[in-house]
Amino acid sequence: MSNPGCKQTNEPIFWGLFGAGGMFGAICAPALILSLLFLYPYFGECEQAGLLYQFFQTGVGRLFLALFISLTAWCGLHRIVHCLHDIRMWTAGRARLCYALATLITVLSVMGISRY
Amino acid sequence: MADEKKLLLKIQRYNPERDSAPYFAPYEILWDDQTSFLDALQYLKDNVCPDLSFRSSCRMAICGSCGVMIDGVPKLACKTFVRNYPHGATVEPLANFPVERDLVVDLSHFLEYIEALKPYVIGNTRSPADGPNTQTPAQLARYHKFSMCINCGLCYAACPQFGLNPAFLGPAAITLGHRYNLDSRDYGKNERLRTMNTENGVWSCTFVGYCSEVCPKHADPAAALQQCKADSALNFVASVLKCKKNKEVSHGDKT
Repeated sequence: MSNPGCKQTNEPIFWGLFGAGGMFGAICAPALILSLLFLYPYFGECEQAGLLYQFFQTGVGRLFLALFISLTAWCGLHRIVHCLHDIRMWTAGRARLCYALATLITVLSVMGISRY
Repeated sequence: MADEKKLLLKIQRYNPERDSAPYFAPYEILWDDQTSFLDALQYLKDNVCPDLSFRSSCRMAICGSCGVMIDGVPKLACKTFVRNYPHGATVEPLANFPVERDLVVDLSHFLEYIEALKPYVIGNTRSPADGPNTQTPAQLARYHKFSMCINCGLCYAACPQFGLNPAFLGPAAITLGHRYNLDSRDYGKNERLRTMNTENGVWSCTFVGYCSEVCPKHADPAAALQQCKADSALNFVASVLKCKKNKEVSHGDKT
């Protein structure tokens, strides 16, 4: 008899994305917040395209942005799935909805970096 | 006992043959700096309420029998001293387990989960004639911390995920399984991982970490669970590569 409690779960995929996003966010988010929100004017970005602008035009810079946006989205939405489980809320479809949203953000971020 | 003082303990009482619901009963105890909660409970059983039920055995934090909730925190009654609660305390049975009577809980689920994870050496074909199975200090150090578990169940009382889902194998059982996974003499890791890989295995854990905080032997079950998740994730990748994913395991249902 098939029993879902005895099957290997898909959780390692989402746990991997959650871990990667958490690590990426923890390392890069403080640097991005500091540079984009506080130090941006001092890089000379206001007058002409400066270091940051030039970096985000390169392939590596675009990939970095897409990874940052998509992985942190996976991290946050996976956390939300577990929080909803913990407060016993919205039991049906919470994982599908959150992971669909994370997939959408990933697709949009990839589209974003490939267009501009 | 010249410096004996008095203290009020509120103890949860419940006799399913008589009471419709558990209730708190106040008891005054005499205590000094040497009095543990287990001493206090034994004093009450001997002198005040002979029908008070609780489990105990070794009185030295080895057997793991006397787990109770003291002021809502899972503790071993023998290892917790009354002197640290000068304004009184509440004593309840371990949380997340069905109560049988007073401070006695039904641990059968917990014991079944330990059994399911096969905490013994598997697949080692050495015989006594081969001599001792030696281990280096480094090999011992890999699992030594996790072998400290005394099966007291405090981590289950602390685990919010076990509270939400009693089918979760839980911290102690997984820690014991992991202890053997890390043992250089054991060859049963894949067998145990089949049980750990399930939704009610390691993946129910959300790394709250309270299990490690309350562990009286510092076995650090939260660390064991996170290490198991890494093992399980690698096993998942290997399973997908071998197209074995979703193949039902041969173990019985533990839900």
